[in-house]
Amino acid sequence: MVMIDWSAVLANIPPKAIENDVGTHFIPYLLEALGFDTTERAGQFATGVGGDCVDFAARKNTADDVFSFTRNDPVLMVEIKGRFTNAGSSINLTEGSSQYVRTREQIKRYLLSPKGKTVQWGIITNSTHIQLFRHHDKVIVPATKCIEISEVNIEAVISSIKKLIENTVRGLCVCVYNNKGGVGKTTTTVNLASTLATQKKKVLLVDFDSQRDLTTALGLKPNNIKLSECLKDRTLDIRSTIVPYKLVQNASKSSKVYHVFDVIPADLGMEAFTQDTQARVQKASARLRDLLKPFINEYDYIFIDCPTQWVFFSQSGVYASDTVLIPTRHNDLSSLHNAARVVQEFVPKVKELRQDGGPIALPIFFNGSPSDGRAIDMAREEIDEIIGAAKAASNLNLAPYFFPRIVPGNIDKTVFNLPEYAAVSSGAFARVPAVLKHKRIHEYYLALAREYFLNE
Amino acid sequence: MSDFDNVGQLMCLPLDDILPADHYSAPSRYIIAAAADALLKTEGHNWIPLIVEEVEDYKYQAVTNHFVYVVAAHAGLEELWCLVIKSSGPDIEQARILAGEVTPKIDLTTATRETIQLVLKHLGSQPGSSLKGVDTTIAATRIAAEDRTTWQDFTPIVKLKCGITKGKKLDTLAAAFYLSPPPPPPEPPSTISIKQASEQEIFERLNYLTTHKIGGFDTVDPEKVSKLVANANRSKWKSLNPITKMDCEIDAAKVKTLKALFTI
Repeated sequence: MVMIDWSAVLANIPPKAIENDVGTHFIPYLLEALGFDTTERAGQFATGVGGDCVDFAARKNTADDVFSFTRNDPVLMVEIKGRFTNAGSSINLTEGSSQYVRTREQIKRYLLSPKGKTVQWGIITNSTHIQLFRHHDKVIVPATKCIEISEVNIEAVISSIKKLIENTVRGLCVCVYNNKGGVGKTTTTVNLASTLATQKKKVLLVDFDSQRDLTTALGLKPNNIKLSECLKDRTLDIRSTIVPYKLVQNASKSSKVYHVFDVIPADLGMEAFTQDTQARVQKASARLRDLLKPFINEYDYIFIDCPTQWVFFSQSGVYASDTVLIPTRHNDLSSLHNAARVVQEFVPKVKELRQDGGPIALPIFFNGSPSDGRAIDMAREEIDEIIGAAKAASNLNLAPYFFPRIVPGNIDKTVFNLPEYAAVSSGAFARVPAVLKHKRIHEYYLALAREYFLNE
Repeated sequence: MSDFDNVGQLMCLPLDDILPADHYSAPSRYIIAAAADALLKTEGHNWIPLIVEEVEDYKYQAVTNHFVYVVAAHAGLEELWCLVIKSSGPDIEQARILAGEVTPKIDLTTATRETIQLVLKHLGSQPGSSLKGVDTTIAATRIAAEDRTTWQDFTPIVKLKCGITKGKKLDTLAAAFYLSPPPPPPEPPSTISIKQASEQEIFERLNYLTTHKIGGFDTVDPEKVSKLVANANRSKWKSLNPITKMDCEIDAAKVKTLKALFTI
């Protein structure tokens, strides 16, 4: 591998570099350092949406496919910004700045484009800041925070990005959480997981709620080795806690068994969680994340069902996740306010501690609501107030978390809603998730899966 | 302390995850054995925790209360109640001081006569102390009378003829005292000819010596002396000695210091 003198590279970038300068003086070295030689890169890569082009795409060559010629199946896309605009104003890519948000949305758009389907990684950089994103189906999550580059840290930063890119992770960890109860977290978890399983995704469910609703609802029992014991005892094998959830279909003459997904059930030890138990959980709420690490390359999705209230179990669930999916009820205003708390308080708190860019909150959805009508209008008005209050208090823009379809020039206040029928019917599933019994409910949840996860 | 780590919490940790101290020497083996018996009689729950810091994921280093570790290991316990403290120098130092395993040090630069005497008494009372026989009243009084603000080490004490001599005795002081001398003075003003220097320039240089207490100049009034010198007829001066005759507390020894800042 070519050793790169990063001090010289940084020194050669004009202090007032525009995008073109960064593309010439920085990106070739960056791609080289990440392991892509000149034949493995392509500039101005068309995304397949109108005339949209991402600045660079890259992929390792195979014996009969040289990427710079074929431009097939890229794995990395790079969106470049200058340190300054052509007009001479500075570009600030610090996380949270408006230019950062715009650039982040831009790379997301590229990764979700038709030509971005095979892309696993996205980078934004202006040679003073850099951030890596991971692309998993329809979800794009930060794989690092947005790091300020300096002569001192650049080698370490780029080598850590290289390491991440070389060790592509299969799974996405999703925590289903709202700080308010009664929003259908468990029902959502089970049915969404079943739906993804029907779409050939390998799914693991973790019941991290001491009430054990998910475990009970599926009629499962924990194995001899239990999750609560693994929290305390590091010598136990977490794999031994897994219980497969199987569906038995009785045809007229024979019965057929289908494996739907795997479950780590909750157990009585979690219900009896005491101060003494907590004193044996090393790393406190950060422990679950370590426990689930062995599964991240074995499953496409890991769903964590956690309890209401910001306590050990829910803190652990959010800490262990890449994304947080927040169900709400349109007629439960408290569920909307608590969803805002998750986005405003809890997710940033965990993000601050993790220092790896994650987790992120996905936009909310209404669980069991009519598609329109007075009640929906009232919910929208309440959401407007929540967004206004957050803006006034901390200049935080919550709009994308409530109305993700809003784009400049188009005030579209659509919130994804799972129809009432799905929520009611699936609420009473008898050991079998409703989506596996009712075609209509399956379609509703498939729409939910497509809204958030499936990239088809 | 956060919800995502164990800092500040009492934790029941596997003994295998704890690195013991490598410098601790426990009291006699019979005490360890008897303490282990006492521990086993109460189902092995140690009510006095071992104090640990988290050095990496699932690895802890004993910080203090080392006796607890030794006893638990002797009793064959597999887990031990520990208090996890912040992994920082001052926090570890504090825990060791509070556990009585480390004697806190006193700043000799600012210590009062009474404190100095108490410390000297304490040091002298330690078994085999080299300070035995030193009259702590005399020593403390003489040290306290000195201006200690610029001391860089303890050697000025030797000159006080108070029974603390160079070598072991002086070294013993370091166990209980430390010094916080002021930072070194900034670069001195450039050397200037005394004949041509203006009152302001003379003041600037004398003030430098006074402010930073160099060569005993801290007792000199720089304003008064600079005025006297500036008003004197300096054209025929062949040295700086005429200053010594101006009745301004500058003697031949101080003239030596002045030579660093003034030429003829």
